[in-house]
Amino acid sequence: MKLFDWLDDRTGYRDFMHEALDEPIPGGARWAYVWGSALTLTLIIQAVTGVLLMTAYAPSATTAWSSVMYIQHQMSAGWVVRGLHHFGAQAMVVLLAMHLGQTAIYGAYKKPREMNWFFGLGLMGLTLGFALTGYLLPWDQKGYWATKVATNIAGSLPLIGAWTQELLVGGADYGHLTLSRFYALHVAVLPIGTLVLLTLHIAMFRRHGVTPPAGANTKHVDRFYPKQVALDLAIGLSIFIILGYLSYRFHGAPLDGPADPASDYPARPEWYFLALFEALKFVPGRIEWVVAGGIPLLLGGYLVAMPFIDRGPSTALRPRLKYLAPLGIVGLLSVGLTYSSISSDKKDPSFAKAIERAEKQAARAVTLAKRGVPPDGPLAMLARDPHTAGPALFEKLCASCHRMGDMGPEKGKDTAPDLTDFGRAAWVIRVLDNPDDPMMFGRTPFKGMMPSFTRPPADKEEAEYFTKIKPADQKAVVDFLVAQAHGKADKGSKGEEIVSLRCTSCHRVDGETDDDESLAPELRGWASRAWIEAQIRNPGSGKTYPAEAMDDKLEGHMPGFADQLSDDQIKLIAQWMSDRITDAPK
Amino acid sequence: MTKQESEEATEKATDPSPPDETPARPDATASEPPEALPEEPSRRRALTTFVSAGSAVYAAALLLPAYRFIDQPRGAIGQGAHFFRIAPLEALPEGKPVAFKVRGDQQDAYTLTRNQTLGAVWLQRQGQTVRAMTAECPHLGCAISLGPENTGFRCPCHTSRFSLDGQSESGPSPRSMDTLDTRIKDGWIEVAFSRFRQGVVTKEKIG
Repeated sequence: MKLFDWLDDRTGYRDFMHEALDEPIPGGARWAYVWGSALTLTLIIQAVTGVLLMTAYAPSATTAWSSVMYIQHQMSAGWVVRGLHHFGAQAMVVLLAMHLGQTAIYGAYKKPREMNWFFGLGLMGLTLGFALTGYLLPWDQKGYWATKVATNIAGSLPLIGAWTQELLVGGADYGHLTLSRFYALHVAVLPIGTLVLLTLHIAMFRRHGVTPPAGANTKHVDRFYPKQVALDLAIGLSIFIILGYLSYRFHGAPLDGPADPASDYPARPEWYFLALFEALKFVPGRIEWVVAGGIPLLLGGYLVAMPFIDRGPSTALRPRLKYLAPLGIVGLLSVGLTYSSISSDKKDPSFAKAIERAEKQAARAVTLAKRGVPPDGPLAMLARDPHTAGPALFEKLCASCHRMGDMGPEKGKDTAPDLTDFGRAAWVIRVLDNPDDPMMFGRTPFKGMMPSFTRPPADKEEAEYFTKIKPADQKAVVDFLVAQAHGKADKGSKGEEIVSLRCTSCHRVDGETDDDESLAPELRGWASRAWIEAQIRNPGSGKTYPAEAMDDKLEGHMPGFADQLSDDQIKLIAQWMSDRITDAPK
Repeated sequence: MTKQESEEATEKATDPSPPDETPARPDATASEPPEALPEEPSRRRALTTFVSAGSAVYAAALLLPAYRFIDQPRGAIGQGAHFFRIAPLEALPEGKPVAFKVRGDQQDAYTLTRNQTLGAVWLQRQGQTVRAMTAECPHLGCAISLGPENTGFRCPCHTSRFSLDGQSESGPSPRSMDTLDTRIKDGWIEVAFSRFRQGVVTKEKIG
């Protein structure tokens, strides 16, 4: 081909290709040599998917999570790209360990390959840097808290700690600048460093060639192409298939709820830092940096020193075992610590509960975000969501007395009506049957104030006048009250008639009652959003209970929350409870 | 190393045989010349085929999702007329074009901003009807302004001129100003605001 001849004449590319592909491999091509190439191939995946993610990701505290959510859930092939990048990062760490292990075992750090070994160690540092910085970028709970821990450890280093931390965080607090800085490190500083070190690493490798295992027949020589290339590619393809499978299996990569500085998220680092994380549990906080900074430093120092400690020319394994032993011990210790960290989390029910709650919140955040995230960000979006803020506020203020679902005090320790079925037929039936049930008003100061409509009173004389409510009437009353809870007036119904006739001897309906001194609440609009709102704001406003229901003598009555909650917060709780009752779409 | 390199150089210069039959670079420790171990041609062919096919598969597996990711399918944005409430009919004087901002909810990828300025329109009242035209020049999208003494519209960027009813008069604009559907509802002017492709002769809705 004339074009290629011309190109070769001007560039000399054939010589270059010859140089690149016909590199002799004394001792023959080996599976053991594939790890370097596997790392390079995976790095290509990381580079391509990384640039793709850059085209959609927006690094700021109000947009980072939303843009990652958009990539993960709304862009076409977004989850594929993100999944490959996420699992590719994990593969890089695994392959790094394989490559380091292989070269260490084969003695490839020995003279004259010391510089190559150092460049490799530098690349390892950069890869871990990628892992640390990339973890934060989605600005989700997991990344946020893990990074907070990591930078706080950096901050605890003597002398340079505070300075390092401030440099990384971009100020005293975590925000826009933290993200921009980590982003700049992740997409510019570290990649450039990697490119430079990788070029040097490969150049050194080309200069010195492979280190065949001791005793290999070095007279047998393969060329790099095609046999070693084929082996490398086979591994590269296998890794790609695994990454593809993992991305498919987990539909991309996990995305936690948006970073919330006020939450109690159980921060854990990625699995490859778990050993270090676990080790921190065994040291007092004062000297944490000794472990967190010292162990990696010591390990790195030993790796750097290896070519000078193990100076003999022999690459035979046996006499060198003593030099490799420290690496083996650290490796085993890491496995042990990682296992202990995982198993202690597995045994901890509160951890499981925290994770479950976090997952629930993440799912909710995604549901809302798909409808569009407000400009003030996903955290503000969640704060305005009744189904997120409602239960959170309930847990904080109401759950000290009321139970609802799995929230609230242990069964039997609650001192106010169980609200699980509040506003539903079951609740009304129970209150008609036994108002003094411990689940109802049995542990409140209102105990004994309302008679049962299905059981005769204990007093024999009174029992003589008792007539049990007819099933049809009960159904009508239940229907009427459930209609109220759904915000319907249900005027002119049979239920309204019975309630106005029988219940108003104590209760109020539209403010009317036969007994003005009774403490029984208003039944019009009972358990509706407005009723709940009024009840939370001030139970004694007359809109729900009369003012006398707040009397000091009634020890244990419900307080008003107007001074503890903002109007918006009260509305959020009421909206959430009302939606629960009416099964409104979330 | 220099010894090796020079040996390699002489080897290249003197040995014309193809690479797979070339003896390897002499090992520094070997005293005898290393054995030449030519691979079986069929085996070599299998390996080279695998490498070519494998590389192609690898590249394709990476580039296909990459392409899909870059070339996102267009959503249903702008399909169907969506009317935006602009101003009360009374507020608009007869005949004279007046520019109004179009405000509405803006869904920009993941961010939903309520009551955001989406663009501008020129409105002209003619009795009980209103003519609406986008203020975006059909040439390259600059904002069209009203010329002196209400004689017509002009684009400040490339001097396209349009008559008061939006007809192209001079300049590089490939078509007349883009008209928009309007309706009067409860005394308010509502405009079906959308965008059109610039620089082409036909009016083509893009969102």
